[in-house]
Amino acid sequence: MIDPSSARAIYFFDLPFMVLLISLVYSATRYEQWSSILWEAVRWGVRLVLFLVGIGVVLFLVNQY
Amino acid sequence: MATASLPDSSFVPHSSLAIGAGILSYLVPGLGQIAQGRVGKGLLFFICIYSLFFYGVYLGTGSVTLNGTTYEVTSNVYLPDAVDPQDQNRQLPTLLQNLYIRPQFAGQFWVGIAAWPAIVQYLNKSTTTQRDEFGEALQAGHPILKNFMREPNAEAVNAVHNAGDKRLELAWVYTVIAGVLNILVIYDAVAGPAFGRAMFHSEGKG
Repeated sequence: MIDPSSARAIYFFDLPFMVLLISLVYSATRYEQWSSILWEAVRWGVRLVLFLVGIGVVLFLVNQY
Repeated sequence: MATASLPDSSFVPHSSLAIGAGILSYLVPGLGQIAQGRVGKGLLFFICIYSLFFYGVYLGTGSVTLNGTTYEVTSNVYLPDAVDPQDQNRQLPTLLQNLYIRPQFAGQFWVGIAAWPAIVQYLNKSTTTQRDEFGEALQAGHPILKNFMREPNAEAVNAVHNAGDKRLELAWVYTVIAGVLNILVIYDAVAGPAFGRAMFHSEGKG
């Protein structure tokens, strides 16, 4: 039986946590100064979230029609 | 013209120490950067990559009791020993064939020492007197590691999957991403940041 609370945790904790850490590490391998690292991390975070939301929308539409 | 996206960097690693720093960053994420004096960045790598990896390991464990039998998956970081070395029909060497069966480990391996228990378990060939349903002797747990990062049997994986939720699948994604990101960290230790001074200079010359 799937626990609904753990399923919700995927969207409200697991994926945001993953996006945050990936953005920070990837950006830190590109830049040396903290200001550049943080700005690049924000940019990558937005890109990753948009990508994941896009996949979610496509899967939702496929499921609906 | 230097643009805002062409930074910043003042760090170019010493070539004589770069390989050593790369090896340190392979062993423990960020350790090479710390050895180079880039302590903040090294700690960032250490905390982020180990958070990803060990959270993935945590999500990938589970146990369930069905009809009085307890099934346990101790980790999603493992290298299966599923190929018979005597099999004449296999097309790849044993290790590559096992990696083909479990390609996730090719990514997880790069997280360094934290994935080595899986290698120790893979090399541990001792068996118990118990037999599986095919009559083959079951592998014994490692004396120190026990069953940690040991290949779970298919029944346990199926039972825990069916009793759990989607996070068991997400778990190995965490661990693979941690390993693959550490390749970038190793690169950073060996050659400096990808948009570092070298790139800035070449842009300036062009």
